[in-house]
Amino acid sequence: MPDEAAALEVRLAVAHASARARGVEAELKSFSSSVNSSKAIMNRRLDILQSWLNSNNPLFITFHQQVRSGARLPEDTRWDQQRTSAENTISPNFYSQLSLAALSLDSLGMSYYGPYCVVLKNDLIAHRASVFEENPFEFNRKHAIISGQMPPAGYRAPWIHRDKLAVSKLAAKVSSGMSDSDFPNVLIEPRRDQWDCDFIEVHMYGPIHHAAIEHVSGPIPRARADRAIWNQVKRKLKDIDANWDEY
Amino acid sequence: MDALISGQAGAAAILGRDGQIRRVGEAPLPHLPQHLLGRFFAGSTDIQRRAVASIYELDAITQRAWSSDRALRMFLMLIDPSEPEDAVDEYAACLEELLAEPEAEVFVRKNMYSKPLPASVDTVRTAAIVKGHAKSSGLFERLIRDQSRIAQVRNSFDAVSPELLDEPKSKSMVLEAAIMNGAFVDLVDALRGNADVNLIVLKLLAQLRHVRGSREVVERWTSEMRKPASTPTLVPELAEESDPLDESRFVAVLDQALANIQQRKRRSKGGSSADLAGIKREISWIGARLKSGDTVGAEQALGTLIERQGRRSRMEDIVKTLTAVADLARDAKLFDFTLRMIAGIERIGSLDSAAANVRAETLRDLGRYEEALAAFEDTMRRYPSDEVAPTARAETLRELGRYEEALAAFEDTMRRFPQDEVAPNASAETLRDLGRYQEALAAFEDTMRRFPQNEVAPTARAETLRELGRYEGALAAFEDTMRRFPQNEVARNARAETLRDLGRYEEALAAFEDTMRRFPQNEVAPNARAETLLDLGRYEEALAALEDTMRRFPYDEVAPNVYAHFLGSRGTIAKVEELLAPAVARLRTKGDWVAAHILAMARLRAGRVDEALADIERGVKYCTYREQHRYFETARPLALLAKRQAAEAARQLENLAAISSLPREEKTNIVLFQAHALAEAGEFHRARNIVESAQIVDFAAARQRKLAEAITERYGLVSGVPASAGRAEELSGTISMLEFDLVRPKLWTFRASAVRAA
Repeated sequence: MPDEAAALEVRLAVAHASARARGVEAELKSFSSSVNSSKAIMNRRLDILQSWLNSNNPLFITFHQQVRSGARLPEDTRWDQQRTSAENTISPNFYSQLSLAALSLDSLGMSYYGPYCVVLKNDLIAHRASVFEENPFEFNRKHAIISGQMPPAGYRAPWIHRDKLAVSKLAAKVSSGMSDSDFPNVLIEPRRDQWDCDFIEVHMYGPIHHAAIEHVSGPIPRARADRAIWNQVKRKLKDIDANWDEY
Repeated sequence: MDALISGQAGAAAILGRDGQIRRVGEAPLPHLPQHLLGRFFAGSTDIQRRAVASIYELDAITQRAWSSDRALRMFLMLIDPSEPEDAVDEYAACLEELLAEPEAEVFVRKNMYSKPLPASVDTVRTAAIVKGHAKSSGLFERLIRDQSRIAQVRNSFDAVSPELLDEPKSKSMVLEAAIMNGAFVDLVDALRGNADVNLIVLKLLAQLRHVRGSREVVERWTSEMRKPASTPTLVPELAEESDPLDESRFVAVLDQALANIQQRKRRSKGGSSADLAGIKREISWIGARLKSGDTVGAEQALGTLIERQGRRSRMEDIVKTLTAVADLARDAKLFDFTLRMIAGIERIGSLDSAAANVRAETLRDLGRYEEALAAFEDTMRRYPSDEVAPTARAETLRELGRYEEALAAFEDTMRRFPQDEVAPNASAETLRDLGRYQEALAAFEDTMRRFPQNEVAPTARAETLRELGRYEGALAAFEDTMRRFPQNEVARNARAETLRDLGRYEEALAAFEDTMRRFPQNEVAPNARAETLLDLGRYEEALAALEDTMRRFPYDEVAPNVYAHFLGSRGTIAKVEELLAPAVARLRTKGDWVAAHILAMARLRAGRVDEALADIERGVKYCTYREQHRYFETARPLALLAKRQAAEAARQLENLAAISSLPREEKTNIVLFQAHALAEAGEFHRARNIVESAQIVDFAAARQRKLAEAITERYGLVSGVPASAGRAEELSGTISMLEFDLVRPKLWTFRASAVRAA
């Protein structure tokens, strides 16, 4: 990690120098300060959210495959090889242990991966989270990294230094006159429902207990059964002192 | 196209550059690059990759998978004691809606039968909540009743030591696969005496063969449940399903209903015709359960319905319900179930003509023709004004090949019941059987004039044109029928099959898919579509489609036979045996005998000649279905040929070729086989004359021509010079393959059925 830290410091210095040259040093400092309070947001489908909240329910543990299934059946996973290969290149040997989220300054994440935005409590993830520049597949493509090669250093940071990575990556997008209200759309592009929307990934080691949920926002489902599930989810959220809003 | 489907996600992703994400009840999302699909489906444990023919098929599969997942969730929420009172009624209502999809109930059972319910589940509370919901209460009651057997099956599984296996995770993988393949449900059924545990174990071993360690676990798990191997029973007597618990419950329900009716002097206001629509819906739902193979669910729903009718309806209404369900069971080929319904009606003591006809039709379906004839004649005596029995009796004569008697009986029926629309069509069909095509066409046209709303006659007329090789005329006639009768499924399938005859495979595929979209419960279209895919060499898709059909219609006899025939042609004998084992162990219906024939031919093709010949001899000796019997007779000389008994084979084929009522394409096949046998016996001159005179016509023409050419070259029938050793071997392989294909019984018919529902 010393190489990673040093390389990130180099990128950070370049970003500050550039900001100085463009006369936006104050704005960049504000941005950096905002990112220090950013959150990890996981976007989830309703079924995943329900199973997550029922992960200590003996009925679900016994009878629902999504919760019960520690052992996955052999299946054809060729369709998923591009992703796993890219993630393995960035996080060799432990990529399958990672839970992923987006770094965000508001309560919205990447809705393409699920309409329910789950904000996580910082203090329950900080010790095992890091941030990474972007989606590993895109990263590898941009940097011409092929499977088996080491990725370049300086594109990841521990959670407590997420501001450094954000500044290094996004300094060029901070412009004169920007204030706190502008920064959420700098940290994540505003088109959250597009698959190629750019964002900083949060990598959390190990499974996330539902006690880490701070807030959930999402749509009221159209299907009757899914509305019943959403109502159950809301009750379960209340039980764990988490908030929710719906639209 | 290939797609990933997850019921948990309620979504499917079409793979490829032009792919899209299709979601249940939501607008599709545009293309998502393949490297992001894993994230889209993250957390799903039910992803399946499938080849599908159309968006329609994909959406239908996704919808069913979603319904299944949500039904299980609703069920778990419903029985969860921590769920508040004000929420559970909504869960029950949602569950009832979701269970309208038969696959969903099967899915819930697969999961809920994997382990006994925790003691915390309040069964009294749950039973009260689901009381007004027939399907949910049936499912729950059954689950509660089976708890001790579920515990027995699970305890046996848990007792298997993981140390048997190389990897610690193997046992849990076997468990997961066993649950998802319905093994727990099957084994509980076996403990109830409803299924043969040995067959279930065989099926399970086959299903789990790709899961490491499955054989060790399954063998140990089921060791105390298995019975000593037994010989399959041939043509067993009609026996009622061995489920004493349900039998006694069914009788108790009936008796209670009768007692309730006796207590009421007259029909209550609640029994007004306003109930009729609800009863019809319920019967229709029971029919769907039967078709999906869920006799348990059907029986539960029927019990509830009878109980309700006992409180509000008349005795004859209950008889009508039982008759309707009996006919639906017959349609689903669940003959034991049918006979139980008939026994119930007899218990009420009110066997009317409709019920009597269903009983007789069932006997006919089971190949017990003489008993069926006697039963129809008995009905005709007891109910002289009944139109169905005389027509059905005549049809039985026709099936027996007693055509002249059948024609006379139809004419008699037409005289006595001039408004009967069934007899004229059935009579015309008989003319067609006799090769009197022009008379048949004229008869159909006469019926079309007299009964313009009759849709059987125009469809059957079009089919006659097709049989005559007048394909363009047949297509136009089918299309006209489809315009006039948009709900006619037979015309659509027959038109698509005609396109297939003409080699217009892509159009045929589109037509079958259209029928599948319009009529999701139609079983013929998916099978015919799969056969068309086989024609096109799209084997993977065809097999996937057949597997889907087997899942959706577990009692459909055609799909496993098509599947097995294809595998047999490729020499995959083990899989063929596994697939056809249940049918060959039963040997009751026509479909069972077709399966036995396919198995025999597959064994012959695999070089297991003695076994094949024994199978064929069994068919010749015991099969009572005339057409199927003839196919066994045709197959026997082929087995003799393989045993180098060519002269005897030629003699038998000569006798078969002399049968005057043989369908034309079948006669051509037999003549070609005869030529082969004669050539093999050294009678080249006779063989050449036969090949030259064989009329090679109709749908199988291409293969027949190829066979004639191969025989001619192999034995030098024209040149006088037999093929060289290497070439002869190659040609023998071709001949064997073509004979395997041509001797296959017809797996279905597109004929517009003249049979009227009782």
